[in-house]
Amino acid sequence: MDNKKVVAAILIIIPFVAYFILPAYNAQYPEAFGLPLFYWYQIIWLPISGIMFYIAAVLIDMGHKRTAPVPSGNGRRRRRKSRKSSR
Amino acid sequence: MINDATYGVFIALFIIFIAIGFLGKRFRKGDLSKIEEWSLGGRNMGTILVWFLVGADLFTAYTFIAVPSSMFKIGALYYFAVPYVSITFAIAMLTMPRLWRYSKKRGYVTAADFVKDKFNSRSLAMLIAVTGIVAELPYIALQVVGIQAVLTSMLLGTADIGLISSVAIVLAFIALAGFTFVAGLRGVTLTAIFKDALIFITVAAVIIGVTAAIGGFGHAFSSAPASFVTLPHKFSSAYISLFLMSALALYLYPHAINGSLSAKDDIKLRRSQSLLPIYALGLAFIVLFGVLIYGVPSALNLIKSLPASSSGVLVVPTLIEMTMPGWFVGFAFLGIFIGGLVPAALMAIAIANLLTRNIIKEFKPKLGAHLETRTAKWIAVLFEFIALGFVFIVPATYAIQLQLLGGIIILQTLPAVFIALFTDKLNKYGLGVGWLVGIVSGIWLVEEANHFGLLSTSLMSSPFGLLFIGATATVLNLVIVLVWSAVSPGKASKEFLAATKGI
Repeated sequence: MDNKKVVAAILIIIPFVAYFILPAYNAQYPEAFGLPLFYWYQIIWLPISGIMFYIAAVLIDMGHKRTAPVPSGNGRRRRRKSRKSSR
Repeated sequence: MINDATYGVFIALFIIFIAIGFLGKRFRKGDLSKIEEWSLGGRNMGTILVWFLVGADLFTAYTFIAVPSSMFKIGALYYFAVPYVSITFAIAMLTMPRLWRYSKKRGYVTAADFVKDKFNSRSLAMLIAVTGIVAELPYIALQVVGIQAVLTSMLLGTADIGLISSVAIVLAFIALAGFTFVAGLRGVTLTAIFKDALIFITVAAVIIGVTAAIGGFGHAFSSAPASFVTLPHKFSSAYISLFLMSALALYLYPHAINGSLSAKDDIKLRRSQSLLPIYALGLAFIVLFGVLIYGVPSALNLIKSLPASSSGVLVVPTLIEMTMPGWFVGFAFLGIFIGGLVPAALMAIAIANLLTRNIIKEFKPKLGAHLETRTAKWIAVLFEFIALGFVFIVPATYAIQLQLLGGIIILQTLPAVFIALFTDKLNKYGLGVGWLVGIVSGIWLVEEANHFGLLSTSLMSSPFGLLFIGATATVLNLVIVLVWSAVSPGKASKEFLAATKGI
């Protein structure tokens, strides 16, 4: 396992830990916008986990060759070649 | 408020919705007589399209209707839906791209295709296919419950409400079956985007509008019982086991796998899954409707005046109706209405694939490619109507309970589908026995927890406090599979290993 995979694994695990430590956020105070901690804590972890997972996804696929565009010689290449590298 | 503008906006948007569904046929044109084209959109969906397709089809009437009503009745426990939709996408981004690569290489359309190929076992594949179909049915039925809830709210107080809403539902399903048949997954994808736009606008408008009108969330929370403010301690284990097991279950459902396999490549798929927790913000707020309604006395009184059997599912529509102008109610109601229809279409396609490829084809191996697609199309239509019929026969509250059972059942395919993606050592007999023990213990424990009566809970008492039964059944299943495979390791089929080397 290279370093990138280790970092990816950590980024994926953090949100799990954040949600598993229930006693740490199962409280009313501090409130935000009238929402008890229990609610707003779990809401803000949604975008944070999305960003962490995305970075992990990029790290996992670095150096991994893409499966789809491999020319297989059977004429099934994509029509819009110009957009292939725009990702 | 409901007035003529409500009906006008609702009907106009519904016509646009159906038109988009049929136009899907022309989107990224392909030969729709091939099953990959019809049911997977030719495996040609990019990051954003998969994001919308999978997102839209995972956030369904379960989200818009069932979870907020449970939240309204029970409180904070049902906020487990939020951690669930965060971590489920971590599981998806680790498993689905791998399944996609195998599928692309070996031409799979379903998870059972993979199991059949990998273990060289038709019986195991059929087991997985049947489990998928059985677990998916109550999920489709739940979509119809959501659709019905919107119509009931919209027509409340009208004479002949039963008749009008029945006719409307049947008409909606005929239109839905039409575009499922004609456009397949392409139609579902395009309508998913339309649906999401309506839903996101609705959630934002209601949250902003209602909190502004009642003076913030704090007011709603102070009017609600204490079990809403924080999670009662007796539910701690239940909360964690519910979100963890639901997260594991979601991508075992045939419709989730079907959506994932439609991606254009594995990298796009992984990225779109990884970003879905952000999409789930909409869900985090719509579940709060179950609390917000406590701050709106007019909506709360209306709900309390309805019979208990139907009041639950009406929480979200009632809150919208009582707080928004007429035209906007039409807009929002259509969003929820098609929020049930679009997933129902994808679920029907996924069931049709399983039934055609993994069951019918096993008995009729000579089914040609064209006939296979034609069969799948008709089965999809058939199941849409079976789901419809289900709701006319079974009361709404049952559908939600059966959905709980469906989650426990689908979890029993976890070893054969998810674990088999990462190891070649699983023993197929161990998988079969583990499955059986998981299913039997799961159903038994649910029956026992409900004293063999009406299903109302999927929690059981355990040394760790209340626990989700899906966790217990799955652990039993896993222990059997892992011990069996450790003692007598299985072999993946040689053909599979040779063909998938280096994937």
